[in-house]
Amino acid sequence: MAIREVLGLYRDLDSAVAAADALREAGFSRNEFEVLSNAPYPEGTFGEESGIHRLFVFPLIGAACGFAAGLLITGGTQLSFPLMTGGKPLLSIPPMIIIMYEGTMLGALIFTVLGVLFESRLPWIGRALYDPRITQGYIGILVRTAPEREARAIEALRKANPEDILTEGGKAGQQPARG
Amino acid sequence: MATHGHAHGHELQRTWELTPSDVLGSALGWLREVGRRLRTPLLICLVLFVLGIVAIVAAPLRQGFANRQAWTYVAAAFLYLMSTAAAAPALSTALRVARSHWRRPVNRASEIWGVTLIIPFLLYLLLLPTFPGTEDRLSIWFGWPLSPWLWGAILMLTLTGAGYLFAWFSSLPDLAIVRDHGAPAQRGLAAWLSRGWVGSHRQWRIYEKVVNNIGVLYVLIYVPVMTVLSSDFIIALIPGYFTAVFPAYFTITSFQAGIALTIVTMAVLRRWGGQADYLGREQFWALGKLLLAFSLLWFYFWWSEFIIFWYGRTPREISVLKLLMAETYRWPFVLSFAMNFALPLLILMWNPIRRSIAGPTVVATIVLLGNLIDRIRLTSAAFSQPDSALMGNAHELHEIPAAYVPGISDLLILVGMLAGALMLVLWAVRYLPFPSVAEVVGGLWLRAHKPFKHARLIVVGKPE
Repeated sequence: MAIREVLGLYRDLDSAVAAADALREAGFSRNEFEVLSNAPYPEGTFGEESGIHRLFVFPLIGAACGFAAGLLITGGTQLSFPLMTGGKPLLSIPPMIIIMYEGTMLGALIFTVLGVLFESRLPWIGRALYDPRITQGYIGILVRTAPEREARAIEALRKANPEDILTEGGKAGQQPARG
Repeated sequence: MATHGHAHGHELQRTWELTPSDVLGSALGWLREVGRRLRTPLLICLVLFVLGIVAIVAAPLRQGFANRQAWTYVAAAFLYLMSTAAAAPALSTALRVARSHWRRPVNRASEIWGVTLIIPFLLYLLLLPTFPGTEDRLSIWFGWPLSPWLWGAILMLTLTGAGYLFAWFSSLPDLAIVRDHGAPAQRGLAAWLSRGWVGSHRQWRIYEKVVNNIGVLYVLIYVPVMTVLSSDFIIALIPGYFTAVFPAYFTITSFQAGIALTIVTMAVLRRWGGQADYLGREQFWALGKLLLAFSLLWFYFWWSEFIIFWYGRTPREISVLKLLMAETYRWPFVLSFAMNFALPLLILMWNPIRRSIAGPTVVATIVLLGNLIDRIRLTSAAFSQPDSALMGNAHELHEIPAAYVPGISDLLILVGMLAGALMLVLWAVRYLPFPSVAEVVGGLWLRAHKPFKHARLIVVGKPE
């Protein structure tokens, strides 16, 4: 299904919160719009719920893989090619611990990078609407919705005195919104 | 909840009086000015760095890897960078985990040092061939195949990767600001590094969690790296130096130097970087307390080790004490003791000094010098031992070598490598605004001005 994007730009926090409220009143679910800002707001400022992320799973999986690789490299080689030296135990535990720890940390690190990229949707591929004024302190309300609901989104965003409303075709005020 | 007011004689932290657009204005002003201001220091650092590289090629490399003593100052530069620049991001993690607000302008001053990690990593790779294998000598590796070369290199690579990841991800939102509003020369790299960051709610939620997670991972890697380095570079190279306390001493004193480096960086930013609104007495006072605590820990860990050797008094222990503290490197040890413990204690024990900007800055400078002397002392003692003194699982130092006196090339190497690290920081700050907009503005949203009787309070909320 085709998705249309509409971006409302607001100078201040109150207007942006009002826009988010207006969208909800107009029947848009929280999944249909996103708040863009240059600094983090306290959780729930725009009436959003905390949401679920699986970030913690990535380093855990990575650490488990790294630990397993470390164990295989150290324990596996010693057991596969057993060389008894001076009656000492076959498995040399102290260096095994260092190498398994290395593997655990390396695995956790690599999977953390993957987790970051996946969970924060970076790089932001195929984005259509963005405005550099967001990093200047403006707050953007980005609506992603069906083409037939685009006009309704623009109408809701307008209620909160936006600085600008951008659609995929340009500024909403400069041309008729497509629906 | 933190409160501040004039009524009780407290300095009102200026940051909390600012608006988000003031903070953004400061950051954009930094980006406009920084290139012009830093051109000369950057050039000086580059020249010193090149001289340092030439000195490495001319002296230790020409003498070969077999003569480990020729590499003493390469190792000293390496260990000093690991004890200062690599420790600073660990401090940032501790401050983030503590979730205090005063740390918001401080984080960048410590995390920025993560960009220097490539230099110690390359120095480490250069130093690795100077070590003999561990099959026939006492070490933490117990003769494990390819140790210390392969496994040490993987550890260092992991730490370097974690450091860069931490520096990059914590700067991501500010890199997006540079991408959108920086000078054309700054935008290209910032756009590539910001990876299309748009500041969506989802991204912010992940950002705040991930920065903490990566920071914790960094600390979890840093501590064992320093443990292994202290073992490979010092303990295993001095026959008879049997100690379980030294790795802890080495790591704790590195944290101390990391705090000192952050304080000095803050002082420089405040004095020459126009950051007086963000880095005030509150930050220096808080870090001064931490510095005092770690200076006391310096003594505690040194004493814990010393007392065992002192009471043991076996010939093996007496030799080690003579080498490291009592005879060969007596004066470097005395200086180290004074500058890492005695002077910080005697200066920072006074409340008015601790609660100032100059006091912690002076002590931090002393600690940075003291740590350098300490690392030179330890490296000089350890790198003076030939391979023959270590092999056959040597249990005792039979002949105490003479003190190693540095030559011109040694000093050039030391200064050059430190200048190289500074050069990377000076280059990085052209792309990273001070203060961090995301950190400081994120804190401003949690602030409220409240009248209280005749006073005015600034109340800062906890985010959760």
